[in-house]
Amino acid sequence: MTETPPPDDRQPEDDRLDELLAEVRSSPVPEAPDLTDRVVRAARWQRGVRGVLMSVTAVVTAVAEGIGAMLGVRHHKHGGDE
Amino acid sequence: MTALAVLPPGADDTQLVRRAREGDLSAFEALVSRYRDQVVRVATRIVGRDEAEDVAQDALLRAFHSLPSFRGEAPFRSWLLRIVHNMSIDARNRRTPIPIDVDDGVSADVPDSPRPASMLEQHERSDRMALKIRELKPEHRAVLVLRDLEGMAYDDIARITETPIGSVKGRLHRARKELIEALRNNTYDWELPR
Repeated sequence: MTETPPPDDRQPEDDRLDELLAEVRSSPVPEAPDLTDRVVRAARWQRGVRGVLMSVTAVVTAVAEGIGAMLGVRHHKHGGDE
Repeated sequence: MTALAVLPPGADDTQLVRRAREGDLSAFEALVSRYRDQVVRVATRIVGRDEAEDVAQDALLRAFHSLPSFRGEAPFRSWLLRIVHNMSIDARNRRTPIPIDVDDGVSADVPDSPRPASMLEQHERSDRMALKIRELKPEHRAVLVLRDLEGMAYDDIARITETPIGSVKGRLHRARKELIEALRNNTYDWELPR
């Protein structure tokens, strides 16, 4: 695997590239001052929705299991009567 | 946010992550505030300004929902930047060929008021350079951004890009060569014999 040339192997082109990269590094990047608020608001909202969905899923599962158990019992009873 | 006041002053990432995993949104907010600028910066340099904020927001939200799977084996910052890196690369790959346009939004914030010529020139050169960086292959671009622009250590970059350190160094070397080659064709900025 080729690696970055060690400092003593550096060519003028490496130095020039570093100068240009330094300018990019020092150039301003867009600020996103309201990003934190937006992310936290979305996280709160999504967590709420996820909580509701999990509750609904739990209720549906419990109801389904209940119905399954009742049907199972009835089926068992019918089976036992025969 | 007032809830921040209940956090221990100077809480470290481990404490904040633990509290965020327990559902403390103010702890998550503190983490977002701590890393927001770097997340936006990395996203900007990989996908460009137009998409950077969306990528940053999506990455931070994904991090929030993935916190239960964060095992703490790597520093939180590396783990978060891995998500940013992956989502930036995905966003870039989803896009059709890169529109190389000097007015690609990067110059949009040049104020109307007169600026010293040298500053304006440097600003424009830096914009052209940013565009050249975004033309690099995604895996090369990410390594160059993390190493040469963010100044991160090789082992951090290896964790973020999920690549062996040797490959990271190789990619960086190729990225720089690729960039030098691209710049050689730009007589305005290269200023060295071709």
